[in-house]
Amino acid sequence: MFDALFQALFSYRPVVFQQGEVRFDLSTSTVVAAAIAAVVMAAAVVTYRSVRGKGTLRDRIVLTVLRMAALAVVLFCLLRPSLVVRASVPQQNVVAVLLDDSKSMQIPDVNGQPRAEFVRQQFGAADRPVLKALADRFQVRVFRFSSTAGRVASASDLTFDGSQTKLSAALSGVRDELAGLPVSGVVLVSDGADTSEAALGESLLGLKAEKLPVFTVGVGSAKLPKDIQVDRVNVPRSVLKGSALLVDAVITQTGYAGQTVRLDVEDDGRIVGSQSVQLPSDGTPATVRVRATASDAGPRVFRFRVAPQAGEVVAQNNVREALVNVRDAREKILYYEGEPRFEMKFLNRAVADDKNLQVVTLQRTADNKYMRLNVDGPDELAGGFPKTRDELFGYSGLILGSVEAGAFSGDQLQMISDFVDKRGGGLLMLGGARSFGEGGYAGTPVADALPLTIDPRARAGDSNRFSRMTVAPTRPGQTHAATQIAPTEAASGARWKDLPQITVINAPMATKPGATVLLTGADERGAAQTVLAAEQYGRGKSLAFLAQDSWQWQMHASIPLEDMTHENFWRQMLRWLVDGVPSVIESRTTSERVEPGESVTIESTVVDPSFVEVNDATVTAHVTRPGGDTIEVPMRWDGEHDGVYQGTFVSREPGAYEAKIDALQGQKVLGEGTVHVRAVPGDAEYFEPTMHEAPLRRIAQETGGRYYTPENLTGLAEDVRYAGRGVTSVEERDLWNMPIVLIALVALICGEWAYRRAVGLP
Amino acid sequence: MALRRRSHLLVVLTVLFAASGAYAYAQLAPPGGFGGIGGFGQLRGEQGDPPELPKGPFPDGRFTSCRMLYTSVRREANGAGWRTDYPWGERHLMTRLSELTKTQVSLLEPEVPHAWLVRLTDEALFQCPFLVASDVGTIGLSREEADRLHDYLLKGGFLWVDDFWGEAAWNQWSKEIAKAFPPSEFPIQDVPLDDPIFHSMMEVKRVPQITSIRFWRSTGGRSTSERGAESATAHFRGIRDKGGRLMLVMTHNTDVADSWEREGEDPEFFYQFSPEGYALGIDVALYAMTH
Repeated sequence: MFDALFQALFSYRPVVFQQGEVRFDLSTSTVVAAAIAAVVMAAAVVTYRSVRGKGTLRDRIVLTVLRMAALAVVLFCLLRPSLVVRASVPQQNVVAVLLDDSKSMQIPDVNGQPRAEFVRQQFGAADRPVLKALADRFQVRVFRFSSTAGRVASASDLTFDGSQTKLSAALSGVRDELAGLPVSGVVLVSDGADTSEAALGESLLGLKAEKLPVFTVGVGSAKLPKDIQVDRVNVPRSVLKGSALLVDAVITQTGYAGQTVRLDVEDDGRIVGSQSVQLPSDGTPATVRVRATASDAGPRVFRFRVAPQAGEVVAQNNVREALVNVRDAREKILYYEGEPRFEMKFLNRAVADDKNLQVVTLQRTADNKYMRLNVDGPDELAGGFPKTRDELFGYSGLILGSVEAGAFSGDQLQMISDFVDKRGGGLLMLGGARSFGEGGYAGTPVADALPLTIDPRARAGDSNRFSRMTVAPTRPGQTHAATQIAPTEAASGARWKDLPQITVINAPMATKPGATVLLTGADERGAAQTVLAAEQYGRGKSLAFLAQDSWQWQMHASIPLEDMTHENFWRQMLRWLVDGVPSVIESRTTSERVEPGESVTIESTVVDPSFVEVNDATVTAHVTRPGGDTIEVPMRWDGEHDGVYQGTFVSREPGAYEAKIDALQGQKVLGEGTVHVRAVPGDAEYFEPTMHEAPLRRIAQETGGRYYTPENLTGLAEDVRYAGRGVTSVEERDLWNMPIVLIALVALICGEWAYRRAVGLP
Repeated sequence: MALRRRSHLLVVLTVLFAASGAYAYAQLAPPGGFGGIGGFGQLRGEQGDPPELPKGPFPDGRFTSCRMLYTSVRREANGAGWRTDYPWGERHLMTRLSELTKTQVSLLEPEVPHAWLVRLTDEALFQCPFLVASDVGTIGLSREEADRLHDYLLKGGFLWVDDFWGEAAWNQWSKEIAKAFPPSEFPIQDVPLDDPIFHSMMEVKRVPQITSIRFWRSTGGRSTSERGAESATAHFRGIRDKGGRLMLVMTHNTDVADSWEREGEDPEFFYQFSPEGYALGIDVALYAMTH
């Protein structure tokens, strides 16, 4: 609209003025004419000054200004102004038309029609308006692009099923393709939804260096009237079989504010978790914590899905997928209990049926006398608590029961701290007469690793306190994985309220900065005390659980025989304790999902049994493809980071790829690790499905092009013509005959006449 | 003179009859009603000690023992029903446990551990995962008591029954315990000597036959079988849960608790029985706390 009006008034499109240079014809005749005009102007001033008594001073000023302006317009015309522009020589230049061929172009938000339809209408054949206009002036070369760019005969060859949009790669590809040719410009038709992580800046620099303008056409709506999107889900890459997955999902929406929807978690088509959420106002993200159980082992694709709602424009973005390696491993936890007590028995009973936890128990019965339970062989813990890092670091978790610090050597105390800090293990200290300050841990390296601050004045043997406490989860504790004692979050919250009291004999301790209190207890007088706190310490994590008789949650008369609260509590807590604990080989890929044909880089961190990084290992990834065949990918130390090895392979067919990584140091096997990756067409195209104007504007602005919408597209070809790139000729365009000049002159004269009439002057 | 003698004899006989009748009634009377050697209306231990009846939650979280207060429905020679060996049997065991192991036991007063007395229908039963009972050859379990015992043991409780001798006592006990644990599902099994329960800390190489000190004295220490040939062999039997853990152990044809209760009465009795009795007692207590 603006462009049309501008062109009607000024005869030419704005780009002509932007690119052109204004000149005046300063020949003798024009100078004479200008001089005459100046004289006339001077005379007019004098005349109006002499007309005294006929009108006020203001009237005379207004009339003088109007007269001067009219004469100035005349003078402007007498000087024969013209615009000198460089215009492309017809058919001597190339224009690249770059059409977005990705799936998002199928979204029907252009007057109810898919974006692709607009492309077909304007560029689909030689006789279509925009393409014809371009073809009349240039040699047009049509390219398609999604993840890569390629030339096509016409837009009719487009399928609009590309699973990615890589604007930067497409622009760079076309620039390379047209290198050496006289190119007037690039026309980029897209919804701007770039799914790549590459920054635009680099490709724009190249375009700017070549002064190659890009004219961008934004297709689609900047805001969908009705849409729900599962924005993101935070899912661990690996989890122990049977564990509860607590996943934070973010949902955004437009058009459904106030409506309640359900987020379902599907594992192979089965719904394994569900959570309802009331949607907030448009554009405001809603965070949902949904709980699901990873009950089947292996690489599992979990789908987080909100059922499509009535009137939704894009249903594909209601689903997010995540690949989770559900490990059917048996995590070993060492439990050292310093005194015979029922807590040890009931803890062991609680997790006895958990096939993925092995609580190896070292029960001190008397001085230097131990009972060993759940050991793998006669040699395990035969010498009591581990004395070497190799031995201790073989466990994923460590529970210290009521055992005093004096039971350990200084090196063992440091080793326990290193177990958390450097090995990345999970440490849990239980309440009791010989733990925390009462156990003499103040000032020891173990105290550093705990989430609670032990009073340095506390001495071993100080255990005069006895508090009977009702336990309740804190706000973080309500949603924390370690404190989920019932199948749903709501049921878990309700169950905590009904549990019988437990007792605490350790003195209250302050929470360390960075630690999270998950459970608090209140005694009969209402005094509160931390009962369970967690902290990340170095690579690992630690828990402090102060109850000395959580077995009350199993045995108490109010607890039915079939109640599983106590079992759930310990399973959840111990699973959380060892969740994510690194093994000797830790492997990962940049993303759990690649496009078929894309390369995959595996990165592994390799350590020895003492968890010291190894740089001279022979590391190999044995990659099993979806078809079942295996390739060996050698992995090499990256040379920069201790213990980090990398290897790359190319995904071929779609499907799941499993990489088993092994490491040898000399002849010694250090360990094994596994990582999974999927090669599947991405669904990123349907996320953030609105038209993204900003990157398109930026491309146009930085390259000297212009941004268009479907509504103002008609002048595109003309604008490209005056882009000044390629084989050009200089054209001179008169400006004196612009309609705006005549309109201005007439308006000024009429204005002067009307004003005189209005104030009563002749 | 003869008349006076006869009337004196009559008085003595009447007193003896009344006393024996009261004793028998006390044995058979429901718990909580009349009972105990200490007199009508009061529960008393075997040696007249007052019982410790829980009046709320236990005072600390330390290890403690509970004595099962049950109803006797028959009589066994030398038996005293639920009060047999109570409370000093378990008190001495607790004391030695605290001395010989790292176990912290709950104390009534300095050097005197608690020995709680609980009915199977008491809520306090569930605070006490270590329960003992003696003379169970006289026990009679109501439906409610059997159900409570069933739940208590399957939740993680532990019961040790001791000091019942001979076939009749065994039959009575096995009949009553079947109400809580049907043999088809929870069979009573002999526990072999290589079971972990015999090696918790002490090495128990045999199931000792320990007699009551009264019987031991009456035979001059020559016999340990209180029922002669019928009880010649001491048995250690048990009922296991679904996970194979012993939750109920039975020492039949032996009175292990007497080796604790009477440890200080006769050095000869002590040396003959107490070391083995304590070894077994400590092993069983440790097993109960760890399995």
